[in-house]
Amino acid sequence: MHELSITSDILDLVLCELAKKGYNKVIKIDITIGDLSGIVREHIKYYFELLSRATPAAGATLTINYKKSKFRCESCKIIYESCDFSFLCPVCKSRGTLVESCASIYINSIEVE
Amino acid sequence: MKIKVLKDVLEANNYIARKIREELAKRQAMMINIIGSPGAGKTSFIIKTIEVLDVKAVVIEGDVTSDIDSRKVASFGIPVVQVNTGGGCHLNANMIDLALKKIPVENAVIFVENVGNLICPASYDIGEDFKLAICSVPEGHDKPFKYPAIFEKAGAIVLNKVDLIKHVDFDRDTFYEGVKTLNPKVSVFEVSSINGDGIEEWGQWLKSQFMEKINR
Repeated sequence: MHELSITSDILDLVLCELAKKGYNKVIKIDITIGDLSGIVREHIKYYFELLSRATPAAGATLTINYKKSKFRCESCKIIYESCDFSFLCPVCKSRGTLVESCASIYINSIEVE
Repeated sequence: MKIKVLKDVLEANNYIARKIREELAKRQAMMINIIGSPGAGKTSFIIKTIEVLDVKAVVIEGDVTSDIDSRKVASFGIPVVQVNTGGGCHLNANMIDLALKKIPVENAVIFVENVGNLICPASYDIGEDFKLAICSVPEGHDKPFKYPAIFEKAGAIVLNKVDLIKHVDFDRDTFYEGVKTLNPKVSVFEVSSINGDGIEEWGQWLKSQFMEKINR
């Protein structure tokens, strides 16, 4: 639901970087989204297309990487990512504990010309 | 040409949040960001808490529209500021920064009732001391599995409306399994804002957190 304001922040940051470096057009934007950020990547792409119109980022390719949080199984101790919407260990089905939370949204890089 | 950016998209918000946190520390105030679904009982819970807290308290009420909740809070003689997002699904640090200019918060516990929503408010740091996730038994025991971000980030969790537990299909074991997976050390308080169950214990915990902060 908050993808509109997130996308607006992405565009502001990208245009700011473009101006700082003295280039004219954004070709590509590479972003990483954590699975606990609550962000739907399709919505980001949709809003980006709308918001970037008539800006130097119009038409830029948006690459969105998805980073998954990691859990440690309380029983067999393996580190695993949640799968099929379950927090349980995929091997022994025991309860795990979150050991690496991915809740951020980062701009990794942009390509400009 | 490729340019490395490596910036958090929410940095502009987080910068304001850090400033708020510094300011609140100077003013010896503690702020709680209360996040729950519409109907979880946030407003009643805040009022019940303030009744037992024995510490100066103020409220910032966040809603898309209307001042229904802030009028209810004000009717108990509690200082309150209304923030309307006008369609926005969460409060951000800038909104809180403006609200804090409208109310004296020295030596107070500030209760921020965020917009009723378990998703978006979890992403935004508003300069709070901790996020409080509140859910109620009629909503079901699956909330931590469906909305993991807020349960993972919460500094305390409140399970409200426990007076209804025998009337609804709520499995405590499943609820706690989700909570402990995401946030093993978090304190969970089972309360009823209707009959007051658990409110005293929660209030004592909150007061101890506040005293610890101002005596630091």
